[in-house]
Amino acid sequence: MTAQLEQKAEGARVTGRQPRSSKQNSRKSERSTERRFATWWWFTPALLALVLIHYAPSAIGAFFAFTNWKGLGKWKFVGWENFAAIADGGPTTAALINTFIIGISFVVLTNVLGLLLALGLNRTVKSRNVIRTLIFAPVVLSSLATSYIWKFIFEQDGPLNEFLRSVGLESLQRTWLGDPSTVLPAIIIVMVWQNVGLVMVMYLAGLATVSPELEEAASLDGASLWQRFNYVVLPAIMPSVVIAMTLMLINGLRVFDQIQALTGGGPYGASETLAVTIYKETFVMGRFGFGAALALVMSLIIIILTVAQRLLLRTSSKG
Amino acid sequence: MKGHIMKKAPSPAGRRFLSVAALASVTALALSACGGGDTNSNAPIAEETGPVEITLATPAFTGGGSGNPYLTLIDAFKAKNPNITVKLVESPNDQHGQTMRTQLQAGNAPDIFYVTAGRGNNQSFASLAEAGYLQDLTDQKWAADAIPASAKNLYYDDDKVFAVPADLAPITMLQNTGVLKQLGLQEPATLDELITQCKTARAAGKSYFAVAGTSGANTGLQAMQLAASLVYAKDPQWDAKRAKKETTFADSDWKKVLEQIVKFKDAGCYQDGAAGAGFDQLFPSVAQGKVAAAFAPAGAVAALRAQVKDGSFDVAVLPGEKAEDSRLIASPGNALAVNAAGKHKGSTLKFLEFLAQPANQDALAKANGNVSVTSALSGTVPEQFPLLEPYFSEPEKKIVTQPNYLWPNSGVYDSLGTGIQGLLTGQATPDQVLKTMDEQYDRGA
Repeated sequence: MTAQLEQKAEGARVTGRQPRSSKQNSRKSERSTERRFATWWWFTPALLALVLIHYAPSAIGAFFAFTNWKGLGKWKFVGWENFAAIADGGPTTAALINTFIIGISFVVLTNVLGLLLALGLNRTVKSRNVIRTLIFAPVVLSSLATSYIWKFIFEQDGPLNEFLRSVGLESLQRTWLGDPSTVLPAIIIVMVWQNVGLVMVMYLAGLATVSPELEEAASLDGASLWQRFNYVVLPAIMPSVVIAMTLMLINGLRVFDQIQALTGGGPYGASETLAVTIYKETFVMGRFGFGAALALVMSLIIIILTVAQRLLLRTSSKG
Repeated sequence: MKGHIMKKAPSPAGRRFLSVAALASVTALALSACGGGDTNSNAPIAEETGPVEITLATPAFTGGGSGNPYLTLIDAFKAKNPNITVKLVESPNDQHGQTMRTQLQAGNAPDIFYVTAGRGNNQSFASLAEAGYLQDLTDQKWAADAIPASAKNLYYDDDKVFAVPADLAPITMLQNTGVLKQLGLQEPATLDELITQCKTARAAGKSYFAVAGTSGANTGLQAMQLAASLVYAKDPQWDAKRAKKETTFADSDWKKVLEQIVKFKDAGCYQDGAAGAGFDQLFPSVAQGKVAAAFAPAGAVAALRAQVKDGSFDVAVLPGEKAEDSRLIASPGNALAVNAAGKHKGSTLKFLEFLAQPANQDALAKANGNVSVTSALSGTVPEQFPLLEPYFSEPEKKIVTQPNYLWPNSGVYDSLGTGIQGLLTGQATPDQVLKTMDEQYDRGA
């Protein structure tokens, strides 16, 4: 769908740049200038708002990454000192590892489950619209609200442990969010539960573009289920794959709400991600300069990984 | 549409102008973000006669009863000063400090607001005063009179005063005396006795303590109580020595504090799942009798008594290694400060002076469930805390200052709180936690 929109937008741009079929060649270049200027004039307010609201604060934030500002009062330039402290490791390294674990698991699980759900609920299942709505419902809920519900579920006396006790699996009972070995899987479950509906909808939109006749033709030619998926369906939904994986990678790497609500980064940093570390360093410890530097590093990591992922997906779709 | 088409593209000079304007606006934004506080502290304060409204901001009051304790005093002040209306604004407890910082920088902070003493957490007044956001109260005699001599180290910074204490919240064990009676347990006199009692409670299917492992503030309270007897009973000036770098956390009796927590854990003193428990689970578990005690400021017992009518609750002090080592942490840490950039400083100071009067401080402490500064100074035992009598009767010997008020930044206490969660899960050792605390301390203010 997005690809179609992009194509339409591109078409519109091309059409807009077509020279008028006028014989007055002397006025051609002047009109062309008028048209270009009109375009520039029209988007100026939006551009100004974007710069002032988005880029200027980001630039200011980036500027503070090179200071020792504590959130109040005076500051001084410290050069690359904050970045050197990040490179020194310690809690930042653990947070980086947790960020990667959560980000990669989140991308893989949401996309695999989202695709399976989309394939399952694409055409044949009865009441599929109801099931789709139920699966999509968590997406529209506040991530903080759902995290607090899950926190209750994971509590020592919560429903999950009660359920395990009721079916005789006492040995599996544990403090899910207070145990360093289970805290990350528990957080990933919550994140996947909340976002899989969105990915499913993206894939359903992609699957709507796959012609049933094409699948039937492949089937008549003796293609197996896997071959039909691999050679007919997957290439057709590739734009959805690209968008879903990109969005989920970004969301997974910058996750904050769920972790802050579920564990606050604990136990003892076992679930602390870069976003949580930035929050703690900035607002709890009052190290705004260090927090800004870490935020810059996190943004860079997200940009690099997202671009790398797009390149990989482009290569694989061409291949 | 044609009417919207401009006739000319911007000239190179026009483009340069736009570029310069954009750069100027970005720079202006940057500079406005960097600006410090408006230090109007020394400007003459005008007497205000007309009707004015001032704003008081406090953390949200969760104690139940008749609501925020300041409301009673606001009404009493209004009766005496009909031209001054005080509007109360509450912010979530854990966000109050950051809210005040943001509003002070944005220039829309309340006229008067809650702060804590010293500089050990993000609600502390000292860093705000340094940045020039607080009104200098040094010349106000009533302000100096409200600060007890024993708490001068918490309020005086370079011989200047920027905040006035409101009341004391002793750090205690909040206990369900019904559960203790049911288990046949008496008040433990030593830490060894307490360990034995933990085992008794565990054998009866209960646990002695509930701690919120996910809340560094709660686990830190427990550590500070242990430190009161294990560190400060022996060396009341430990924090002064730490400030002069004559000692460190790692090389001091703070190690005993953390080792004691590990002993508590090994003896089953804490509830199951303590490491993952939240603050919201503490009071219900004490109220329902699942555990015997939780660590909390003493004022919380009033809320528990009000909410659970058929319960029996009290506050007590964690014992030391020996009975005579036991100490109570109680400091006049709750305080109020005045916005240096406030528009109605005359009226605001009048309100603060009203609050600083001993009778009004008593009324505030009573409504808060806390102890007033005057009661503490006179050695009067607050009637709601009978078990604290031995401490208030000998305040100089048996009451110690809340340690984190004297620490240079909030990172030290945060490291202590999260480190204890690491001890509960087995992820950290006492040495690792103490090393982190020292690192945070050495970062300074």
